[in-house]
Amino acid sequence: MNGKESPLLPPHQRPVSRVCIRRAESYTVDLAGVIVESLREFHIPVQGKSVLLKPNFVGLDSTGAMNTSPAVAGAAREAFLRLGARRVTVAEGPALERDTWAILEWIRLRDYIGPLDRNFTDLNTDHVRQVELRTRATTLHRLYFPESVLGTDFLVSMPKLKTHRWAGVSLSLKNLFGIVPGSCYGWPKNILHWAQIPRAILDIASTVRPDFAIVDGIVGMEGEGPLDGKPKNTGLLVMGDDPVAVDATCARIMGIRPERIGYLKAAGCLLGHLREENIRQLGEPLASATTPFELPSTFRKLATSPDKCVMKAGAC
Amino acid sequence: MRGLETDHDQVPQEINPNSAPFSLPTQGVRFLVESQNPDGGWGFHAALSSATEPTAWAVMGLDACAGHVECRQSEEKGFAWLEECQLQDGSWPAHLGQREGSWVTSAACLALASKRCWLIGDPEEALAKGLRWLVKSWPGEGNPWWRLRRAKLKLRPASRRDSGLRGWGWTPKTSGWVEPTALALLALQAAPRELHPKDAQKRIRLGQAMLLDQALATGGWNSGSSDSYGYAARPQPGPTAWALMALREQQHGPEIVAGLDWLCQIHSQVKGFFSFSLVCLCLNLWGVEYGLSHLENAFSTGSKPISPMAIGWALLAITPPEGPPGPLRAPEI
Repeated sequence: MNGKESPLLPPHQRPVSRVCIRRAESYTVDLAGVIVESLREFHIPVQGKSVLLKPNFVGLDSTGAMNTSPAVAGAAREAFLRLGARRVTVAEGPALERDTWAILEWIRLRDYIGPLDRNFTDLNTDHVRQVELRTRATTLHRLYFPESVLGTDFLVSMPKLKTHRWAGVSLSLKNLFGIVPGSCYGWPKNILHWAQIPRAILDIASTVRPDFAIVDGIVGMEGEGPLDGKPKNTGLLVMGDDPVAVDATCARIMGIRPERIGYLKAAGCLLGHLREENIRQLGEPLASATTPFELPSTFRKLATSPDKCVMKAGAC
Repeated sequence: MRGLETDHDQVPQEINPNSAPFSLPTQGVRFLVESQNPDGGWGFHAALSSATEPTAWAVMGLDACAGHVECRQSEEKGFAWLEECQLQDGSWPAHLGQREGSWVTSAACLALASKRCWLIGDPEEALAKGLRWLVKSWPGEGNPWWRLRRAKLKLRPASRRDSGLRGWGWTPKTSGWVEPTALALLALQAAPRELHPKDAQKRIRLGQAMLLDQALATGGWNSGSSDSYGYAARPQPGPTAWALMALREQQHGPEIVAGLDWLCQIHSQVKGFFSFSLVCLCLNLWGVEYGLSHLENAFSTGSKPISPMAIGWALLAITPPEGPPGPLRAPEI
């Protein structure tokens, strides 16, 4: 059970995906309890396995909207341990801020997950291995990835619910930029920008597909994300074992049609389900969870041109 | 488990009561000697495999403490690792075994330009090859083909900065950024002039002009231009420190004065030992007092792996600014 070896399948060959939307009004509620309850619905086989949680820690932000909350990361860690995981590590390789430990100090991650030298891995400076990319959306062909990510039994992408100036939305697939090691590609990982962000997302997600996604939408970010947006209180956690279906559901929650986001549309061809009829909703109904987000200025045209797909991210 | 996130501005920096104060240079040197890998290099943290950047800065840190006997052997092994890691084209890869060079070439060149390297061996050929690669390594933007393509496709510029002022990218054929540009400038400035390849002076002038062009109106530097990320960028300690170190020849420029003012104002609030030691190194080079005890405290707070790179910076930061020439000062070779 490891998404990295999961086959690339067209939608008609995939079983229906399930996505769970849970209410969590603030970071003070029993988040570990909420997550455990949801994970049980997915019957995740993590007993005795190593689990790597990949949050989205971007920078030294005082609004609480930029980074995945350390409370959610800590709660997810506790939840997987309760389910019998052998080892649960939080790991991140920030793309813009070179000093990962300054971010951890800022968000006080140690208060939530314990000693950082044991429970946290800096993916920017980890051992690396070159891997052939499984798709050719970019001309990169191969990338270095951290051994911690390649070697884990179960990879969980834990993004923030965000709009994004260059990608439209930043969710569990876009969050994978943080596994590309800065020690090889710099800060920012500019090679991915030159390869075109939507295409790079596809190549990385097809090669290192997360086994599960937990989206922190308790406080999200709207507008000019991922750096200059505004906090948006949505009071939600969104979870599922199909990262494309989770991202599509999150886009719908934000009032965005996922088919209009180029990389999500392309991901729906091989990596998971995009269409609503292929996604079974658990927990909170989608309609009551929907809270339209302000779109970034670079994507506003979308709202008025319903048939336009924003970025060409590959043939579908 | 804690509840809501705290207001960090209200909370003083935490000191781990269980950890003893970190003493520089003694403990710094000992840490580097003990964390050196058997192959002679250093990883980003102890127990990680050797990589070029931490090795280069560890060697430079030891070089700054050359009076310590235990430094010598460690330093020699470090230089040997760097020479072994160099690629045929003169560049250095981020990690041993990789086949493409990157910005870490600048750090390796800077280490080879250090005084003790010339006492230990003869790095002239390796350094000259590295410098040649650096001078030939242009960013992907700003060349005639790039301009023509953008004009043809009517692409709007990604930022307002002058794309003709070309610095250095993190990896070949990508955009120029502040840190790799500053590092390349430092390497070229530290190397003996007779090893400078043709066009070195042109690249230095362009690189310096690019850094000055990217200085923020508010003082300081971000990792890229003022609007690289689509909004008015805020200054960051790391890029500001790099830019200021690389622009020491332009002492009276308004960008320098504003950047240094900004760094002096914020340096005591800088989070993380990695950023803080870099800022201290920069302030030391500019002859600004930063407080040794603050630097030592930065290494004794919290449960985190100590970085050989940051220790290298810290050891360089405690070298008197008027001291003997080192890689970050004018060479006397």
